[in-house]
Amino acid sequence: MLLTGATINDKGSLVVSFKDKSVQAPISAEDDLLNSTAGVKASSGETNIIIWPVQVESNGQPREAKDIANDLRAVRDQLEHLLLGYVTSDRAALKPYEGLDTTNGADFAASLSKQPVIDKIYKNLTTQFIAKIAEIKDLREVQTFRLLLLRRSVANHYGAFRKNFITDNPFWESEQIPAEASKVKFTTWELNKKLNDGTPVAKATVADALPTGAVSAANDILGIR
Amino acid sequence: MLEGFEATPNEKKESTRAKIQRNPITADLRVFKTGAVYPSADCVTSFNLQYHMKESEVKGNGFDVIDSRELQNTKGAATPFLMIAPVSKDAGRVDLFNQTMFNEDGTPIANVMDQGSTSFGEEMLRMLKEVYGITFEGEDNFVDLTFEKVDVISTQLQNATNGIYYVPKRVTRGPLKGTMQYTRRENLDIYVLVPANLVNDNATITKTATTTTTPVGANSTVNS
Repeated sequence: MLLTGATINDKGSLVVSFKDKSVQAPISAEDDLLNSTAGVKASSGETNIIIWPVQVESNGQPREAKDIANDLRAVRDQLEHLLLGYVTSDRAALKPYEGLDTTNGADFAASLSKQPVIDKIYKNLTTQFIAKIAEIKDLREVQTFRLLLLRRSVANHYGAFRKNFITDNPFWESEQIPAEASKVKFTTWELNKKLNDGTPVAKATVADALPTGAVSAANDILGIR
Repeated sequence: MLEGFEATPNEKKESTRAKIQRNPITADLRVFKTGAVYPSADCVTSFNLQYHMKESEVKGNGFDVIDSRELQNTKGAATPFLMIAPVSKDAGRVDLFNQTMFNEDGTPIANVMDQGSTSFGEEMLRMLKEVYGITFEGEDNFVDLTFEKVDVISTQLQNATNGIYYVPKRVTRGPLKGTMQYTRRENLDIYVLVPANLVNDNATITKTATTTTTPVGANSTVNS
């Protein structure tokens, strides 16, 4: 896969675009599993992955600070993980708190429950990411990677990046590493949760199949709202 | 005490076997046929190989040893060669001089000059045999290795990799034993690792057909 670009859509979400280097070729069953079709397929053959902004509330209720922090950390880690495919860690590092006053640790920690502050951090991460991948356009055109996407949830078959333990379990890996040594594979936990399945499920079917609350519980696992 | 018996101190028998200097003087590393690897004093100083206090922020370095046949950017080289690069001891999966035990007060038990790192020995011996055709026969055989800075290799690698190296590591245990895994490193300072001398009459070096020429960019000083 090639990382072809990234942009902010009209809803303020980061959209990262990928293109299969051999998009014309039929997808084998194995490729289908690894390069999940669960992403949003654009007409050009690109796969667009949306990284949603982090919210301080869920269903009208304030979220716990640690959950908000985990979501922000996941966004940062995912974006740096993509960049590390091209550049060294010093060049991949994002600065989430740029433009925010962090001199008073206690005040700053308290501010992390406020949506404008979270939005600023999300904007910092995403705009810096877009700027950094613009700098490496030449590399992106030639360096190919393996990309693994997870099903977002039981109800939502669209693709998402893995959020946790991505150093040991990368979702993005240079093809300079021989395929037989690749670490890009689903974990047992993901397979058990059927997060490797990109099959769309009709809403009625999901509602029929799951007990009340199961969908939201599944969504909560991935922090999807 | 028995009458008339006079105790005399035990006389320590002098070994008739010549003591072998474990650390090389002019070369950088000495590899014994047991797989034990010892650095020279200069090498320890130059690359900060010594172990530090357990809680020290300074961790010191070990080495990654790289077979050109397994690195993506060099696997096409007509003549295989070995490379070596200093990496922080805490970088994970470091091949040489990366592990020691610590005393209760946090001081390292081992001195890197005396430790004789063997954990990488089997793989090191295999590399030396396959790449440079070095085999050991008889007793107490060892081979000295030197680091050659070959700018054309280090510079080209740095440019080709953009500073990112996927260093091959052979799995030594478990169900995947023998397979290769790849560890990400950044901005490696790569040297070509070449045999310098063979200091033992009983040992032989058999140059294989693939190593009859000088390793790429290196001044091979193998004696046979």
